[in-house]
Amino acid sequence: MPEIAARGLVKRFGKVQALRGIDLEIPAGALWGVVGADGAGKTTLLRCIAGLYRPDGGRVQPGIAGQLRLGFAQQGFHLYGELTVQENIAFIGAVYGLDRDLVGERAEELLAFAGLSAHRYRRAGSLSGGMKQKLTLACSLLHRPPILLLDEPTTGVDPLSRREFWELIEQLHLEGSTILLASAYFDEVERCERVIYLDRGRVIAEGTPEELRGAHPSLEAAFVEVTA
Amino acid sequence: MNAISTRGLTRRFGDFTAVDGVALEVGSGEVFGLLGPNGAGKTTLIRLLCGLYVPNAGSATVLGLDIESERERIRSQIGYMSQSFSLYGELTVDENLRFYTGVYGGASAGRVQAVCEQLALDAEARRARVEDLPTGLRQRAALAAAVLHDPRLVFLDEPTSGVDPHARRSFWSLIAGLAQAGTTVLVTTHAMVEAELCDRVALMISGRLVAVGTPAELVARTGLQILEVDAQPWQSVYRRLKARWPDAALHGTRTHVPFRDDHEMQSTARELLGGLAAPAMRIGAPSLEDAFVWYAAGAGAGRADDAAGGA
Repeated sequence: MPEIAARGLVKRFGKVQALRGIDLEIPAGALWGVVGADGAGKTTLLRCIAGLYRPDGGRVQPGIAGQLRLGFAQQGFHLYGELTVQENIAFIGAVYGLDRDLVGERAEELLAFAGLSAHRYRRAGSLSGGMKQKLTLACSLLHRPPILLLDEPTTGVDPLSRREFWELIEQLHLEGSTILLASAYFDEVERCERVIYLDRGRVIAEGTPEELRGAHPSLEAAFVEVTA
Repeated sequence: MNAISTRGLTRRFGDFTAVDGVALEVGSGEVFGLLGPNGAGKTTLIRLLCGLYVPNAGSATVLGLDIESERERIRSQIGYMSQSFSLYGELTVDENLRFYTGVYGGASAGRVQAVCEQLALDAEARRARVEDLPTGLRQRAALAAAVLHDPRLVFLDEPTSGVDPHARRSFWSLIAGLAQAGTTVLVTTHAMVEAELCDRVALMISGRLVAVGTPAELVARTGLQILEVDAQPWQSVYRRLKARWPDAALHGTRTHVPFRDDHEMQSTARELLGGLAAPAMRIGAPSLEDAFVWYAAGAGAGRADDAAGGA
């Protein structure tokens, strides 16, 4: 059974049809990427899968019923800048209703995993862009979700931090997480097992990066041609 | 006269030195890229040059004007587009442009029309509320606001962050157009493919400029060569090479191993990858991203200082 699935998924905002019938099946343990132009519906798709938007048509899984089974690192920075790194983790732990000792234990693991142990007492707002993204990822992993949704996790992140971030994603993938990632960087999307092209709310192509690249020199070149 | 000229420019916040003794010359009409890791001090440097921060030490001129004593005059001749695009979301594009015209003074209706045409902002986009626009159009509207008063120098702080490939490409052709018309452009970016489009770039790390030159010069100065390995399964290719050479990195699904004087690279790599069907390998010049990571990763070990000193 797929971990993430959509059938005929439709989402409207007023007159705008953000998603126009998405069909999707992502098996457990897979690492998939979704790309598309601005406004293609990537964030809306992730938010429907995460249960943050109620679909106007069709079905989506896990959706609202599976919220505790997924971690969602949303686009941008949604943590509390005035709180320290450690306080943010404790707060998110409380939101999920996790036992305090358990949160403490996992916080140690996650800080080490994200390379943030030395920065635990810093205000989150004072962290660099790369560190903020790692903290966002760490917070989304606190309840050990088997499914992970990442919305442009490396936008605004420098090349060195981007590499470090990808080491973390690779490690989670090896450990068996199911990961769906939206990105504007095609060199990153090429590392996914399968890629979805989203265009104006529809899936216009889906395949391995090799299949989608075809005869083009790069995945980005192929994308630019398909969506021109 | 250079568009930007700084000497020992320094700005501290408490005991943190954000900009540390920066000496920089940017020529008139140049497209100049300011690169560096998050937190390196790029935005602080731009804000100093715009007269939004006062330096703790050092001096600078922008368009020949002193950044402290002549900051008001500087502001009327520069444009600044910040990371967050700084437009009013609830207003339409036209309303925003009218507001900025009022702030800077002087832009005629004809000028607004000309800028919108140049930046491909059609009537429909101009009537839309900014928050309803896709990122690519919001970005162009922000650029329009920044260049309405026909500045001789524009600062663009991560203008293409989060923008899709189409919008990124068209944005860079707009930058080229500005430069052709004689405007100096100072731009920050994390995308090395964009940095390669700049006339010259500076790499900033921990508040200091560690390398300045054309993209090709910065690459050459590392003295690095790259062994590029393209083989499947790329994950295990990468892991095996990384175990032997910790500097190995992924470019898409190809592994890049930087090296200097290792004549056995290819044969060592082949041994490490024994069992895989004929891995495709080639030795070539590093990309700007390879160079960036080399400077950035080595900054603590004094590598970058060596490179800058040897320039």
